[in-house]
Amino acid sequence: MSTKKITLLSSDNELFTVDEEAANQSLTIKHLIEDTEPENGVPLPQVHSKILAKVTEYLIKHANEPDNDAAAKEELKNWDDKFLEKVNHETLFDLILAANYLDIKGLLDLTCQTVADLMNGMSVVEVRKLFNIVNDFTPEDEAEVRKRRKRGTKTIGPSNDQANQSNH
Amino acid sequence: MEESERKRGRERRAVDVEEIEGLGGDPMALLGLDLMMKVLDRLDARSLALCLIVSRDWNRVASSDELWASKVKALAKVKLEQLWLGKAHIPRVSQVRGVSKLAAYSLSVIDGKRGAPQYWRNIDPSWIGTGPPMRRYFHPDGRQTADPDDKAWGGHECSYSIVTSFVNGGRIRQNYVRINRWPRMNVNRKQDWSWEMANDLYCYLSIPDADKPGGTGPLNPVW
Repeated sequence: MSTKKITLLSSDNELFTVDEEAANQSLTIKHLIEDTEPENGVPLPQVHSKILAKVTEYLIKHANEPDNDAAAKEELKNWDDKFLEKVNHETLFDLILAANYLDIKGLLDLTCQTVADLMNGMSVVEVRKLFNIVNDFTPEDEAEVRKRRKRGTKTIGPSNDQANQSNH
Repeated sequence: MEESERKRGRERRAVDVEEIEGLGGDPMALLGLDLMMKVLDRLDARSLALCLIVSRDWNRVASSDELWASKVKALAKVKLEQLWLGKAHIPRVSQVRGVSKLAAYSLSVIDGKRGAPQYWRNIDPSWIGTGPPMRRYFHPDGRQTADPDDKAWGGHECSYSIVTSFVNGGRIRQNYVRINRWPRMNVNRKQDWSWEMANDLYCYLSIPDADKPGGTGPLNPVW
């Protein structure tokens, strides 16, 4: 039995063809096909071809997820690790946005976990460096936040500041 | 020269960060709040705490109760399992469905510290250090006896029965073994308004201020 092919159209008008089974992992695409039955490819104006190429690569690989085969699962996990190994941060964030927009749960979990793994175990200075974040705390603010953290409270805001002042 | 030596002396991981420096932008701006929460939810508690002091934007998101609730829950679950490991008795109140893991933990700890109720200590002099322990003898034929000078059982033969009671509109059946049915006890009020409950084997006296620590009463329930 030949499977139905689905054509996806990126924001810069590039076409990608995948099996329907692979495409259906994206709930957004699935619903678009069901609702509109597009003739000239499913238009995805929010996804650039550079990202859509990665997404389709993922969809094709994950089209037939193994249920009980432990070895196949392990192989797929290794593939996932390699899949995001050489990806730069910009692409990684674009992939998260695309996975969210296309509603692909597996890819969203994988990409979010990758970012979290990058951050786990890093110091604050390292996280700021990693993401080019400017520390916009004043030294007094930062001392206050650090103090709060030691005490076990974790919010900073006008209401807490007022409460503190009344204690003085 | 001094500068480069200082750099070399720094942590190795910091050098790794320098290698990828410049590739990233602030995910808070790129991903938006919802997706940032998804990422932060996958951090361990320590890293999430550090996110609080990355920047003001990060502080607002990382201090979300939603994120911390799941961390606390996970931690409480592990702690609770450790606490219950190998215990012969786990208090029923902490196993009620819907009780949070954190509440179950503190209920279990409180129950574990609960000593014998005061009236038991009063019965057995060894509890309060005023006499030798009371002994019970279980005979092969099912009888149980006590020493002749035993204040509670007084050497008379005792018996046991299984008492069944129905609670919660008859839906739950509670069984317990009652050893030695006691002769009827009489309740008397004394001159100073205290109470006395006694039969010819033993006498219970009420404790003043039952709501205070060490007192018995409704605030010290027995499950």
